[in-house]
Amino acid sequence: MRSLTPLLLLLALPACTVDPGVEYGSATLPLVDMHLHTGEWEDIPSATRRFLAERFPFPLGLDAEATAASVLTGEGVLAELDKAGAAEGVLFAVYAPRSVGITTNETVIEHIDADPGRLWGLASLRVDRWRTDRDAELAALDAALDHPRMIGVKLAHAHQHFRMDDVDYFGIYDVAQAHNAPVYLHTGPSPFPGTSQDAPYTDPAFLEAAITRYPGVSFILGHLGFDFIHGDEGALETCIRLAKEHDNVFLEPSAFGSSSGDPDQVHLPHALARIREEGLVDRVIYGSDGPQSPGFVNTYAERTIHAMTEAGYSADEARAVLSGNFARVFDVAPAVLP
Amino acid sequence: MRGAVGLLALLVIVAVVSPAEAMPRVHRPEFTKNGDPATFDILGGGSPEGAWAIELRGGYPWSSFRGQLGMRGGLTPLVDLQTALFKRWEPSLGFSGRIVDRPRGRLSGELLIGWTIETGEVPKNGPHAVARVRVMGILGRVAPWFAVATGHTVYVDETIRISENATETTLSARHEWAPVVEAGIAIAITKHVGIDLGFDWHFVGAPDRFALPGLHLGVQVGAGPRPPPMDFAR
Repeated sequence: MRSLTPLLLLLALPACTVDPGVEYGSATLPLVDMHLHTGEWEDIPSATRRFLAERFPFPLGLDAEATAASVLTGEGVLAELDKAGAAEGVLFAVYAPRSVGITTNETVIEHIDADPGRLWGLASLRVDRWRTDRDAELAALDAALDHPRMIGVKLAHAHQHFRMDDVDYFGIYDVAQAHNAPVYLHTGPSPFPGTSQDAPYTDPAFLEAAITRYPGVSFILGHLGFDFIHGDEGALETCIRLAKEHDNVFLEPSAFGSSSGDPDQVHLPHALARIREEGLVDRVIYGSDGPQSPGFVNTYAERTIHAMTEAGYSADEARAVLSGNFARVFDVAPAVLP
Repeated sequence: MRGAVGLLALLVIVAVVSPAEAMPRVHRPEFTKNGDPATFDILGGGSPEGAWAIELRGGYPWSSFRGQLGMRGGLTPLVDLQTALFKRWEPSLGFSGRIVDRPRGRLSGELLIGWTIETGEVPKNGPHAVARVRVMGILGRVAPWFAVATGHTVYVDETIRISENATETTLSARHEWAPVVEAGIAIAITKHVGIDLGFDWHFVGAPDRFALPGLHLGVQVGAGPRPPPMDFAR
């Protein structure tokens, strides 16, 4: 039955490949999704596997491993990007063995090879044996960033259990700065089992020391500090303040605008409206936090377009959010429509 | 969804508005004048006294087995086993009965109780209950049908907290709602054998969780006394 499932999914799901680009008013805009996950199901801790399986559409969670395999490979991610009309995507390495699991830099590079013209990667490193392994981990991060498609660093203090203001870990930013690599940071309380939810691990205010010390490093505040536990905007205003006060702070509105996290489509339009009110549209980099489940990448793009429309974004502003700001911050060629 | 509501409304009208002068035994179209086909009993609900019928249904993601036997007074005990991908099992016992029985249609209800067993990444099991309403329009050998159901399962979670001095066990209950919408076309090949082709949508975990719709093909077999309707017998 497992071999039959992908075929049946194709029959059951309305998606299929769409033309590249997304419609925004009368304009067709290129889309880059800067927040995508890849990896192996067995590398995820069992509690998180159960958490994820319960959130797959029924009956996909009954055979969660097969479902995950269909979307987590490089080919699977590309298929999800195709459904969304996205030109490019960025795969995250993750080293969080006690919460969301491990996706190594090598795995990300392997999956990027599925289509090196469309996929990029963010490298990461283990921090759970920092006292003994720090130098080796920093060296491994440095080596991963030598790969031409590995263009940034991914950190999640809440999932990796280290404080945002702990200077012992600031060597990570030295490596990022040496490679001119932006650093993506998870902010806000996380729904995953095994997460450190206290403020020093989740509140972006605790990043300010690093942001100030490393003006040459771009800090991308993932999820805009959204509180996934209580389902409210959490540290949105802190993120906005940091972006206003520091030119090296950028904003990424992934995950919290999903159909489960924002069923009434309130949070994402509000966040994007606040950012526009504060004149920070040029700091927003689009990401979905997909693939999660088949069709999620496409749905999140649609919901973001809806939110930008609600918030009054012009076509040029939408273009900046969906691809232009990514190219500028990561210093890569802008995505173009064929 | 709007189409499904429209189909339900049409079938209800067909079932309820058609002539009722022959109650309690009813005038059937020519094909069924010597008793309803077993296929219509399974998908329309209820069986004549002493008649039995079974159905084997295969599909994605749901497959099922059902058997029913008509009893005196119109009550029809039934046994039902449903499975999703052979990883979620729902065995049930219950009964059905015809609420409205007309020459061109039928409205029936059924109640079942049973047990849900789910394997896979999140094993769980617990008692469930299902209430279902079926509507069928009868057009000779062909009968479009529609059913809606509400299913409720209760899972009991056991949490064991082991501390230095004691082991504490607590139980808590979770409710899972699973409304179901089904529709299809039943075709009576003979009085004893028939098939149906349809779709089914089991919203397991609603409203928080999305579910994929499914397709199925069913085969029905039945026999037993099926007395002709009274007006044909005259």
